[in-house]
Amino acid sequence: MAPAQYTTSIPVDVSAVDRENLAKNIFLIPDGNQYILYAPLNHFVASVNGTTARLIQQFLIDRDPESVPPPIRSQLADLTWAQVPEKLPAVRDPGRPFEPTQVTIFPTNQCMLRCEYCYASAGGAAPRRVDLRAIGPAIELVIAATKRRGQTATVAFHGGCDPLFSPEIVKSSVGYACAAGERESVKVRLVISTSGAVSEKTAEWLARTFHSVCLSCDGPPDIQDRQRPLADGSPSSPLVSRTAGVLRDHNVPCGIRATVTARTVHRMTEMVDYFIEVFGMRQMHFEPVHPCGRCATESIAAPSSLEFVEHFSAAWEHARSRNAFLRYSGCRLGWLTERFCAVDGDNFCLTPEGHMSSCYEVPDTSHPLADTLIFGRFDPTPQSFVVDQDKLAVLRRLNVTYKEFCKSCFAKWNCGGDCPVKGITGHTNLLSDYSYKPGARCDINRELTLRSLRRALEFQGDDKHACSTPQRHN
Amino acid sequence: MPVQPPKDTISAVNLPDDPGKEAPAVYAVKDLRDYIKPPLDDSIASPVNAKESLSTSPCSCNSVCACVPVGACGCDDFCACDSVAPRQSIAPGLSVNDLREACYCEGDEGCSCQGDTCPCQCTCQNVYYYPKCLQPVEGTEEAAE
Repeated sequence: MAPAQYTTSIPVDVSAVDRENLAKNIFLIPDGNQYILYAPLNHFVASVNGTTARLIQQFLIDRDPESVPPPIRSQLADLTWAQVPEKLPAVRDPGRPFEPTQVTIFPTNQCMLRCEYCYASAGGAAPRRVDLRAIGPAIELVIAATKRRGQTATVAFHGGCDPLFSPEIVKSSVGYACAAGERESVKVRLVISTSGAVSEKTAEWLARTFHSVCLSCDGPPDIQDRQRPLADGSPSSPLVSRTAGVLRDHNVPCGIRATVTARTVHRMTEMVDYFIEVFGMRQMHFEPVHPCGRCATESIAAPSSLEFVEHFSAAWEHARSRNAFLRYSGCRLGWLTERFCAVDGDNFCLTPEGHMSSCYEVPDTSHPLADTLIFGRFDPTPQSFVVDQDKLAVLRRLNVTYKEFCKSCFAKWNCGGDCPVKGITGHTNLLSDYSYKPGARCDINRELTLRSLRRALEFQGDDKHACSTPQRHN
Repeated sequence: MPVQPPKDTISAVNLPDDPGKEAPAVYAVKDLRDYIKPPLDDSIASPVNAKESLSTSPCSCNSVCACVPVGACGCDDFCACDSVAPRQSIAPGLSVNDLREACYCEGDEGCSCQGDTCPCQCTCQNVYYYPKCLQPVEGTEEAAE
């Protein structure tokens, strides 16, 4: 049996795999009267009956292919999926140096919006703006690392608050990044997440400046204006709609990021239509609201897992029928990764306080996990960053490799153990919660991943839209 | 009651003692390589109904804008400045605060810049860049979530 060969760009980004016990990498999920046989490392899935499942169980014990009847063996790709791929990435060293290829700048803790669920409780703290002296060294750090690796540097803008509340900081940073990239012959990719509640002039600049834009919007005006009003309580939807139009007219690669509450969960299909018809967007990203920040203090209800799964599935099918692409961060069938995001020690977010945070949801020291997730700071005297290597080593264990709870879950390399911050804050805010307790969204992640597997099996032939991460939409 | 960890590995699943006399069967098979996460496809990330032609910036790609001061080339604020000095001549040795006070942003009462660089559209002493000069960048993906 020849092991799978990989020639394209890291289809398996999973390193810490049990290479001795094959059965630990292969999953069997009861599905009505049938079973789904899932071998993620080799991208293989099949629907089989109980008799076949028992034959495979035995085969994985005695390793004798002859124990499986030839016709079944043939139907099951000659059992090649039972091999551990030879070209797995090297296991990452938690003590590796900090060499970020992306910096995400949080320009300010002020915002033009007052989203009712804001995780950063925007507007509730004394105004702060990032120290401009920190921006240059942050960008230089990233440029130097990417130059060594021969990669593209990414300079991103995000934050607990809208980065375009202070466009002059963004402009200054962009200028610095471009100059540094030019000087060092490093390509710089510019990305931003924004509410889009900006002037037309700023929207034009946004469209002409960034390589891609993530536009946060919750849907039709009645939803948007209730959940994401301007700071004075007035509607934000006219501004956001205008910005979307500018981005569309400039053909900027752009996606929508919408937060779903209990109030809006049944309107996800309508939201898809709105973003296609009014915004002209075809890439959408819906997430259930997580109870933190103002969402917790204002008692904004999250949808139940069941409700979210049902309505997301319907909206996904609807988006697909309209040649659009809807995703949710915990269901990523095309991904095989041991991390949910780069929180495990590669993220570099520069906060308004001059701290280095590994998480977008931890923009300041008031967050309950700030002491864990803020791992460094800008020192203005030598104008450089001081990294706490001990904290970094802890962060590098916030992925599914170190999450005991997920050891035997079929979806573990798709969701990467889910968002560590949501998981930990969903329990007792202790780091040990991460390893031994479920993620905050396990029910959703597992059910949507299972449905994606079913969908893949149902759609035979060339339908590349069957899963949640289609290869191409043309 | 504490939630139990999933047990989905094939060896952990308890199959019925006697799955019956039914013959082994495979109902469907799929190679999920079709769904390997691709780089973001521009065709999906780009909005529909985009205008075909847009006015182009006088700044060309792959070159540094030489628009000093801003506006001379018509770029307005589409260029970003690496470092600036106030519009009026300021004696050397002034503090950042002095510099900030000397800057002014059109339409604003005063300069709100911090630190020793001023992003306002004052007189640029260094270079201006049209930020997309560095395109194309491969592997473009959606902005941070």
